[in-house]
Amino acid sequence: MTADLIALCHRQPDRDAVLAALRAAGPDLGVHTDPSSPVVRLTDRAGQPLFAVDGPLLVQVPGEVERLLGVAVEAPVWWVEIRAVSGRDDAIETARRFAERLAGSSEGRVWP
Amino acid sequence: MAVTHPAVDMVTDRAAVVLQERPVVPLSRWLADAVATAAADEKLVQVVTPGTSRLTLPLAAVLGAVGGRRVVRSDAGYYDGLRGELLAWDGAAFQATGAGATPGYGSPALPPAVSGGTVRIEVTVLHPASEALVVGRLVELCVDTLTGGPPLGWGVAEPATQPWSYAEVTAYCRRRAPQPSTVVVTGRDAVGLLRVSRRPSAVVEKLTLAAGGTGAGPDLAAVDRLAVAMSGARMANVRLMVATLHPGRSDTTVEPRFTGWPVPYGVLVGPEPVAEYGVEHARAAPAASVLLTGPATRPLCWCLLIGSPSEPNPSNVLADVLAHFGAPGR
Repeated sequence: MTADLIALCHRQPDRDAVLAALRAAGPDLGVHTDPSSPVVRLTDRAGQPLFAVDGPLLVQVPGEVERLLGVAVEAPVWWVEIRAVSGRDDAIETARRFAERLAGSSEGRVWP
Repeated sequence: MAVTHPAVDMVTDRAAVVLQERPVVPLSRWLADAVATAAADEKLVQVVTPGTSRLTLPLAAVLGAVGGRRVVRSDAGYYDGLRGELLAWDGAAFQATGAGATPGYGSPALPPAVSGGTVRIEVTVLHPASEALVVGRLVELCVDTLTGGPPLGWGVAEPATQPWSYAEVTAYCRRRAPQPSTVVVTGRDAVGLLRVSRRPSAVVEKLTLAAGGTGAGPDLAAVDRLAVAMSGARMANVRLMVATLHPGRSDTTVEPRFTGWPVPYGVLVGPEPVAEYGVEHARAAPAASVLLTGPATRPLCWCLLIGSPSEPNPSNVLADVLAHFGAPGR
């Protein structure tokens, strides 16, 4: 099972959409940011890492989504990279709930 | 608990290990960052994938540049995705076992090769440092000539996010100077990595570009056209271009198995090294054929490497030509 998920959104996921998606992903997620990094890390109740989010990046280059993911999605598209910790099924499930909700509220889809 | 890098699954004293399951593993922004961090910490980067995953050229090139390893997980154990040698985890890193190559490497037991192959070019341009210097025109010439269309995009990682603009690439590199810059560039069925770095009195532009596409194999006439186009005024500072044919897939991704030896096709020696050694010396280059191109006063030397009567192996011909001109790519 892959640990990587990508939300491809036609509308820019705003702060509200991200917060709603985090609430939908699971209760009591710890949210950790670092001013020197664009990455947001999410932890479980015990503080153990579950998944990390990078983006959204606005991909304005035609063909990039197809080249890297093998699916035809027209540019421009907002690319949100989500990586669950490996070897932990609940981390992947939580990350997927986040991705699905985020894509659902931002005219997007989740890969894979 | 120590916070590890989000792209990294395990860190030991010697290695940063990244697990990736995607069919195409790119140089994502956090993987690029993880590679840089590991290199700064003098750790090996080891990217572990199943045998069905392919690496993008930018990831393969960046891994190669830092001495990283692509580790392939298979039923028979681990092996090196570039060389096929069997690997084992020694408690801190994946290491060669010394037991040779995995039996399946290059055998039909793995998914069949997509025939056609790609052409890969490596170009070095040495610009005299100046305020007005622009970089990226090299990318335009190469992508235009090899793909029949302009570059499509660039970015600091994959996916490339920005529509192509040499002016923006130049501005990005200038902001980072004197730190070197690495950017991903894309075209139709083409992807590459442009590295821009400073020397005391020069700026070095190095492009690695792979172009695939048709499945009928690389367009050799386009490679020949590119060599001639390099003699244009805009490329006056080109030092060296090496074009290599890579058998196998006709897209630009890198499979973890042997798809045939890469074959050096041609080497272009720029006007500066040609002038240094003289035109007669250039004409006598030990290649299959030699073409002087460009202005008569400042010619470039395009050497074809396949079919030399005295040396059947094009890799040896390439080495001989480079030695003939005193390793001009350095």
